[in-house]
Amino acid sequence: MAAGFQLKKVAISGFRGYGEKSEVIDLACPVVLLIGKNRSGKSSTLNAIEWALYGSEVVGKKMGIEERKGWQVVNLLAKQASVELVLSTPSGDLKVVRKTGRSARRSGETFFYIDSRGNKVTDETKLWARLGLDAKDFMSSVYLHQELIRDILVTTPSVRRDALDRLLGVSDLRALQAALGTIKRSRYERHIGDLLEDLEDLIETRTQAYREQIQDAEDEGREIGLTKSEFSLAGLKKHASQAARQLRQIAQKAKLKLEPMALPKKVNEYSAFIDAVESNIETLRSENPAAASQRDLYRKRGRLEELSGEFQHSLERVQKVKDDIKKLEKRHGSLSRIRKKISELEGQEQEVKDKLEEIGGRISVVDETISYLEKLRSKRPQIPCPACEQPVNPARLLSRLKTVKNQAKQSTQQLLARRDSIREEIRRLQRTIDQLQELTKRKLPSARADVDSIVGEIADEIGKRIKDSDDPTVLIDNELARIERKLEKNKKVLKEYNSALSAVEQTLARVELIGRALQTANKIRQVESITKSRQWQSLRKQESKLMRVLDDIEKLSLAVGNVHTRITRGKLEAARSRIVGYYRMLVKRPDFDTIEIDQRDFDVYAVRNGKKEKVISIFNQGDMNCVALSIFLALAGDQAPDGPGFVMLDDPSQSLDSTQKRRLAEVIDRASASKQIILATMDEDLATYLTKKVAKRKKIYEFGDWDPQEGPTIVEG
Amino acid sequence: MDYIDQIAKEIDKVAQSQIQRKRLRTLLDRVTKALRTHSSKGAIEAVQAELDSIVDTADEIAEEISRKIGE
Repeated sequence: MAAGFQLKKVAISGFRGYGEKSEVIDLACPVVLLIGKNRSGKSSTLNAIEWALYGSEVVGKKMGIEERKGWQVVNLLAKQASVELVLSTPSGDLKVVRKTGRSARRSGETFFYIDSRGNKVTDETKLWARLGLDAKDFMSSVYLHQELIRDILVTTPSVRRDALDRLLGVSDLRALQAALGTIKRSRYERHIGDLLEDLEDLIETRTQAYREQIQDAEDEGREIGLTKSEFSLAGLKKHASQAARQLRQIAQKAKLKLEPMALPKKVNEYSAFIDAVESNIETLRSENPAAASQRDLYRKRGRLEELSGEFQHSLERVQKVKDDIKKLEKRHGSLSRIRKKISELEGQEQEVKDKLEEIGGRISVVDETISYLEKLRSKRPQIPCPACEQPVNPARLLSRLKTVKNQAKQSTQQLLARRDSIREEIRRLQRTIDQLQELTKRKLPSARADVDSIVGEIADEIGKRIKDSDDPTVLIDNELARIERKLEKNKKVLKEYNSALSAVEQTLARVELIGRALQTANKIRQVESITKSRQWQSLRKQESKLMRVLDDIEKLSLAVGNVHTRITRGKLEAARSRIVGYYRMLVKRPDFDTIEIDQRDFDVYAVRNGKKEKVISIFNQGDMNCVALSIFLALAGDQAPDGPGFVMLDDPSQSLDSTQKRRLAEVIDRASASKQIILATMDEDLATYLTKKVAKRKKIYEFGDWDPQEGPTIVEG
Repeated sequence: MDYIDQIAKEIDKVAQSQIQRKRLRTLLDRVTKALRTHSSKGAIEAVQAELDSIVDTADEIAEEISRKIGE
């Protein structure tokens, strides 16, 4: 009797080809034959067993089987699919229930199994652990289908190896070895190697740069008289002391106070010393009395030059006013003369006025007389003169009076023109008087006041009272000459002073060069000491740790590989006689009487007198299927000794001729001695042979016409 | 995994020291545990995580050293 799990019973409803009515199939038999036409529900029965055990693992793309993509689990006319599978084990029955569909999902009971002790378990992975096979293992080592035959013989080496590994039950080992093999040792080695190399390069580059800086400092130092031996702490101290001493002497001479300057005792104190000395130099430059005097003299010189210009300008302004007065007097005479002339003109104007009044009076009388005569002229030819009473002719008199009137009008016009001319002359003379008064009474005093003011400023600037007899220009020139002499003297003093300060700066430049070089040398020591630091040691430790883990992975991979190879070889060797036995039973070829599986590439070879040929190169499809069946039946069930003790064969006689089918029935008979066989076939010949040849107790189910609503029609034969 | 004992024996052969043997067995435990949960990816990740952690630590130390060199 076969060991491990045996199939005992399956109840199927709503699963793929099955209708809603539950069909119960008793499987408690060493050989179960499902016989029927194509599309009668046989494969759905095998699929139902597979689905009950592995659920969604065998549906869709996961399995890698083309026909499983888009698989419809629930029958289109059913509300839910349900499979209850009973397995018998040495310790008792185990019932697996799997359901899908809305009501199953709502109740939350889509999967559970009840073990021989009555425990209900809902974790399907626990069932797989008990079976000792995952879904792919099951599909390769328990369930023979056409995809598997292709995988064993035809497809790529990796798929072939995968299928045979699963048949041999070593897929876990291969997965473990593959997992360890995916760790890329070189990637990690390169990473840590690059890390260390980059750091070493960085140390080298940095050290080299520091050395060049020291060399530059020494070259620069040589140009200002420093020797190589002075690039030392002693040299630094010597030049620092010299700079401090020089500075103190200058300060003493200039009677100025210095801020404290701490002489450097260590290399890293030199920059603080330089800062203190530079600050003192700046103070000495700005607070030096000669420099202050120099600044004052420059200011005074500038101011005097400015005043000199202003003084000249003010004199020119006075002169211009005077010239303007002279010009006006030359043209119009003096003020008294102009006034006299105006007085004369006013007399003339009065005369003209008087004449105009007189003529006006006369015209008025003439007008009255004319009016009077006009009235009389038409009444009397002659009238007595109102004055002398002599008879006068009014017409003649009237004519005479009109002439007189016209003459008087002409005289009036002439007199008016004369009056206007006089008035214009008076106005012109009046304006000249205004101009002269503006010049003499306002502009001239103002210009003179400016001159006085500037002279006052000059007096202030030169510090001396200026008398009227003094020429301010001469006084300014004398003062400027005195300032120039003083400036010249100061310049000499300052030159010496600055030269002394420059000498201090030169000494300080030496201190700076030596300090910089010594500090850079310290940096080199610091960088070089990094490789001895705790951090560097930590990095090396990480490197060792990484190498150790990588070695461990390699060693473990080697150990797993050795075990994998040994077990594979052992199993193949152990199954060899069974494989060859089945092969010889199925394929009676005198030219190739045996087959063997290459343990490196897992290719299957037909062997003749020690010469090997790949079966896919020389065998027809029927022989190849026989080879795959030989390998499958010989190895199936070996994978997990406590796992499934049954195999399922779906349509195993494809491409087999009648003789091969007969022989297959004999092989099945032999295989049934070690494992329970569930076989589905539409092949009537095979069914007949199996019925006749299989000696073991068997159950035969005949699958009749399939109905979309009711599902398969199953009759136990 | 039914071959743990065999792998353990093989480890005894390939290990160069007692310490390495111990380490290899620990590593085997880790990867087989990950494999038992049906995940070879998990087994790889368990090993890779350790390697990546070492490399990350090394990177951090190297960065600190670089900074010191640059100061």
